[in-house]
Amino acid sequence: MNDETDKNEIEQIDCMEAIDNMYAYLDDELTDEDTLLKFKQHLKHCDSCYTRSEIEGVISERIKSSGKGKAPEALQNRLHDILGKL
Amino acid sequence: MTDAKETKTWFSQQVEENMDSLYSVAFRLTKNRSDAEDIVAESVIKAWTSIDKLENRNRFRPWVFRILHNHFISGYRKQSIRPTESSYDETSGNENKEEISSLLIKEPDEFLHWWANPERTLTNTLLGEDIMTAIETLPESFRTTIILVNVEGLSYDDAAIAMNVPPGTVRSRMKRGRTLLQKALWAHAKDAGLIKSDNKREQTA
Repeated sequence: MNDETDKNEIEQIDCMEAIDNMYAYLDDELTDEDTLLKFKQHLKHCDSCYTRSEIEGVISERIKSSGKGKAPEALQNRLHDILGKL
Repeated sequence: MTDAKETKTWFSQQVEENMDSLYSVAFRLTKNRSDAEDIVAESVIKAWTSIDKLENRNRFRPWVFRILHNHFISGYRKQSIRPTESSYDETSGNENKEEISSLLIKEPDEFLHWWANPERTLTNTLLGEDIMTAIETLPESFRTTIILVNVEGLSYDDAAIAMNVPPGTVRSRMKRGRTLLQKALWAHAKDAGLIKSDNKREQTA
């Protein structure tokens, strides 16, 4: 299927609808096949939404790598104490 | 091994494996190390006393996050007043379309050019800690959702269990939360001098 066929045969969605599905897509939660196909087709033909998707993907990765913390030693000891007394 | 002993061993193992995650989420909720430690310890005790209510051990993570979140809501959150929270409450049924349309739609040129400019890549200008600082400014429901999904990797279904809301609410909160995050990052970038305060894109060398 070439690009022209894609445009003609798959119902188009607009940018608002694409953004409406963007975070679910990035979170692997866009499970409806028809919606997923329409979203991907939109990205293929819309530079603006493609860029947005890329940017939001980078932000997601940055959140994932920066948000993790380590339990302080005092808390670890406190929890071990609790678990030891179960 | 008796059932009771096996359950204790299993529970202890789950707590060990999720200690860092529990603390991370608690810290993002309370924004305070001491409160976060207390809420985790108290939630672990609560989880153990309620262990019989856990029907599926494979759902331990969303279940224990739910206990922690409930504990935060019923106790710690009451200690502080967050007047801006209600204006973002999705249960109000008054969704702000302009807000949903996002800064990316409202100010596409400035925002996209700044973020996508290869000369000023996101990685060079905006650190992870900047993003986490911006997340901390979000209303609690959105902050919690983003942390559970984007940091802890919970599915929307599991995040829904953790926050005791329908899965559709998680999806809605992600969309609104990440939209608000864009605005917070934009404001942070201005404050940090990463972009000019008059909204004009800086010239690249």
